[in-house]
Formats: sequence, structure tokens, C-alpha cells
Amino acid sequence: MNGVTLKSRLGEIGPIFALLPALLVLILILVPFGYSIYFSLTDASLISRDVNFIGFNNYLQYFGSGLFWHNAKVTFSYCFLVLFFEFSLGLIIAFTLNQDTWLGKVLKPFLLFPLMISPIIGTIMWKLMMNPEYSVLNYILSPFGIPRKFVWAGSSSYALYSAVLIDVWMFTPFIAIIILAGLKGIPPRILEAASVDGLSKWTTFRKIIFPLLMPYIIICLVFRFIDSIAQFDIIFGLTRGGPGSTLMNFQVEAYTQAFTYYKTGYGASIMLVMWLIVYIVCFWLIRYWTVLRENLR
Amino acid sequence: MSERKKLRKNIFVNLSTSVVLILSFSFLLFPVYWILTMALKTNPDILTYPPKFIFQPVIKGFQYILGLAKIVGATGVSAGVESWFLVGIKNSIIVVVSTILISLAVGLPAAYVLARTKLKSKENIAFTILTFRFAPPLLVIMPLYLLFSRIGLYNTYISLIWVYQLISLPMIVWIVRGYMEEIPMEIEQAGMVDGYSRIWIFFRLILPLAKGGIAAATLLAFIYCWNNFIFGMILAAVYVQPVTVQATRYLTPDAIMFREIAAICIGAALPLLILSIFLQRYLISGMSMGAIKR
Repeated sequence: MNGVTLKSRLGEIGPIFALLPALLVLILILVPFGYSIYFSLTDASLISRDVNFIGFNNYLQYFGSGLFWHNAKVTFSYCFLVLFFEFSLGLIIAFTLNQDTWLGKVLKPFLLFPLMISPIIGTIMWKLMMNPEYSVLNYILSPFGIPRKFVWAGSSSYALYSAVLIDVWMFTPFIAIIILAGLKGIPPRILEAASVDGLSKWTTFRKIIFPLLMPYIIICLVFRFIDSIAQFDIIFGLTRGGPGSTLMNFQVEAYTQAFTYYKTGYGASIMLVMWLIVYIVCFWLIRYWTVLRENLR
Repeated sequence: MSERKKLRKNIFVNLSTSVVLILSFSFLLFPVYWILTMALKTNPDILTYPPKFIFQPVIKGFQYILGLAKIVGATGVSAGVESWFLVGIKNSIIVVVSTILISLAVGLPAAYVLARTKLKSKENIAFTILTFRFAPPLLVIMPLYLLFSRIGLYNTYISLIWVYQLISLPMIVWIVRGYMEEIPMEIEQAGMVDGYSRIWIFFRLILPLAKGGIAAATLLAFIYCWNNFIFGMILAAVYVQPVTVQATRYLTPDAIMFREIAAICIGAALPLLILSIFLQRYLISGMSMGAIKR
């Protein structure tokens, strides 16, 4: 009798023990996070030891000065453009690779190459490829009407698109490979059945393939959304947020405030605003994903 | 549809597939090719217009980053022979390998529990683990920078391994968990009936069966950690910084050594390339049963 209760007790506690190390590691990260929340309520600075509690002043200043709206505009236009182009191209590449042509088989091992190049070093290289004096990009694109001295990252009208271009080059393979995994996971008998039933290609795609791919698309969306909202390396490497403040997204703005102007507290409050936005969006995406997964089971 | 029409349609589909593949892969691979050529060019050959597609390759850039040759910068300033590249590679290997090992050690049991228990809050716990990926890196780094400088952890491997968990742990837990959910319950039940303990079952049955998912997760986490820049830039100094940060050392105020940076770009990607040769075949199969499956 006693043994049984002990065993069932263990059955409840056991899993928690197995989770504990992972949670412990994360708590070690939670501590500085909490510290940051405190920072955001102070005038903490990297160059002075004097820290005063100033309530919500950082936040009021951030929203009041209009800086928030500028950062939000940059961050979300970047995020939207990046996701749009990466998903379009990623889907196209995944579908063509899934045809299993000999060309696809030859090219597939090279798919991950851009992902293996570090974003910061890759961006420095792209910067040279975009340099108006020596641009190989302008050279290649000249048949399409791009002028020889076209200014990419240096002009405030094209800086955003230049950063987006680098991001699309770097992370499209990530999406392509996960969507490809999704396509490979569709049991062939389902597609055969559809073909036997005489469904058209388009209907098969819309009614069968696409719904089965949805969970993969959502999870890609979550990871790419988080990364592109918090993009730092590409923008920092390309223009450090410039020209002027053209490319100041939340992350680069917070870095500049904290490490260039030494306003740690202010920087922390910018980060927290961004974190809250990401949290809310991802919360809904993941919830939707969980529901989708349950339905498909 | 007549046979001939069908054939013609097939040829058209194949042709358009090939065109799409060629166009998209040119976009993905041309910059890689161009970086490789830059690493093999002389500086005048790099800084010229029209760009040179045919040139006399030199390996000076690679020799220099490996500390095998001295170089004189564009302005005549000679840079030291210390190989920042090799220092960086060593640091990156130490930090990333330790990070991944720790993440696997704590993440695999967690993934198993989250895949199997009937704990009511497991979806919440899983989500909480994922939320650590939402945390903007700077939010965690800023206080750590202050904290670490006070307790003497600034500029140590431990501090980097600590924060790198932020990248690798959620990825490993999420991908492996999804994979483990697909392993049939019957296998464990059979093990239970035979009287094996949960722990034995986990190590001897579940882990070998989940190796595809583990390989896929390890490869992705490894790539993301290896390429990280901001943690090393802020939390460490010269002799601890990873290769991504070391590369920026070649952006000196008087000369940007593009050839050397290009060489580092290729050199830093090599370990990832080697790892992916071994693990890439798991990536598609691992992900397709993984995180994400039905």
C-alpha cells in the first residue's frame, strides 16, 4: 500500500527532477533579466556608479520623444519585408527541390552555405560588394538598369532594402530546409489518393499539402520573426543604424543608447518594450500552432 | 490528354523547375563564390572596377590570417603576426562545444519529459523555455556585463557559455521534443514490462531512436552559436572572443583588410561545413519528424 503511493508520488516528482537542470540553467538567465527590469526604472549609466530610481521616466521619455515610433517603424518594415521575401523564396526553393530532379539533387548540399557564413562577417563582405566604387552587384545588375555608381546602404532611401537583401540571402535557406522537411514528411499515399480521386494539382496543394505544411510554416515564422525583430548583426555591420537614424531598429537603438551614450537604464527600457511586443506576438503564434498540431494528430 | 501533350507538359515543368533552381541558387551561391575569390585576390584586384572575374590567385590572405606571413597594410602600417583568426577559432570551439554539450545534457531529459508526461502545465513549461529565445540578447547582456565585471567573470569562457545557453537550449528542447513525441509509446511500455527503469529506457531506447532529431537540433544550434557576434563582443576581450569578433580586428582605422576578412569568412565557415557534412543528412529527416510534425 505504502509502496504504491510512494511509487505514484515518484511518478509525479520524477519528471520534475528531469526538468530541473534545464529550468535551473534558464533561471541563471532570468536573474540578469530581472536585473534589467530594475535598470529600466533607474538612470543607471555605464560610466557612473550612482544609480537613482526614477520610476517610469525612461518609458515616458521613450514614448514621448517619438523615438519609439521611429524605431517601431524601422523594426516592423524590416521584419515584414524580410519575412515576405524569405517565405516566398523559401517556399519556391523547397517546392522545386522536392521535385527530385537531378539538378535539385546536385544543388541541395549547397543550400545551407549562406547560413554557415557568420552574419557579421558576411555583412562586411556584402558592404564591399555594395560599395559604389567597386560594386560587383552594380556590375551584375547593370543590364537591368542599375547605374554604375548606385548607392546601396549609404543612401537613406535604399539602406533598408540593402539590409533586407542581405538578410534574405542569409536566412532563406533556413526556411527552405524546414519547409522541405515538411514536404518530405507528407505520406506519399495521401498524394496518391488525391491523384486517384482526380483532384487537380492546385486543389491538392490548397486542400492537402498546404494544411499539412502549416505547422512547419508557423514554427519557421516564430523563429524568423524573433530573429528579424531583434536583428542586430546585419544592421550594425552595414551602417550602425545609419545613415542618420534610417536603420535604427529597437535593438540597435538600445545598443547605441547603452554603449555609445552610456544610458544603460534607458537602453534597458527600450529592450523591454521590444521584448513585450515579441512576447505577445509569439504567444498567439504558438497557441495557434498548438491548436493546429492537435487538429492534425 | 494525348501522350505527346503530356510529354510536352512534362518537359515544360522540368525546364521551369531547372530555371527556378538555377536562378535562386545563383542568388544564394554567387556571394559565397565572390567571397572566396576575394580571399584569393590581391588588394588592387579587389578594389577595382569593373570587377575582375579572371585573376592571378594568391594565398597571401590565408597565410596571413594563419600567422604564417607578415603583411603591410594599405597605408604602410605593418600589422602584427599574431593570428587573431586562430585565437578566435580556438575560443569559438571551446565555447560552442561546451555550450552544446551542456544544452544536450540538460535539454534532452527536459525534452523527453515534455514529450511524455501528463503534467498539466507542460505546454506552459515548453512555452516558457521557448520564451528565452524572445529575450533580446542585449537585455540579458547589459546587466551581465555590469555583474560579471564586479564578480570577476567578465572575459571568461564561463560567462560566454552561460549566455550562449540562451540560443542553444530552447532550440534543442523544442526540436528534440517534437521528435520524441513521434516515437511510439509501445516501445517504452515494452521496456517497462520487461522491468527496465525509466532512466534505462531513456538512455538505451529513446536516445538512440531520437538521434535524427538530436542531430538536426545540434547542427542548427551549433550554427547559431558559432555565428553569434554580440555576446562575445560585449562580454569578452581579445583572448576570449570568438572568431566572429576577431574578424572585426581586421577593420583597422587606417586599412580595411578585405582580403583577410574574406579569408576569415571562409575559414570560420569551414568547421560548420565539416560538421554539416556529417549531420546534414539528418537535417531534413530529423526536422520532418521533428518540432513541427503533425
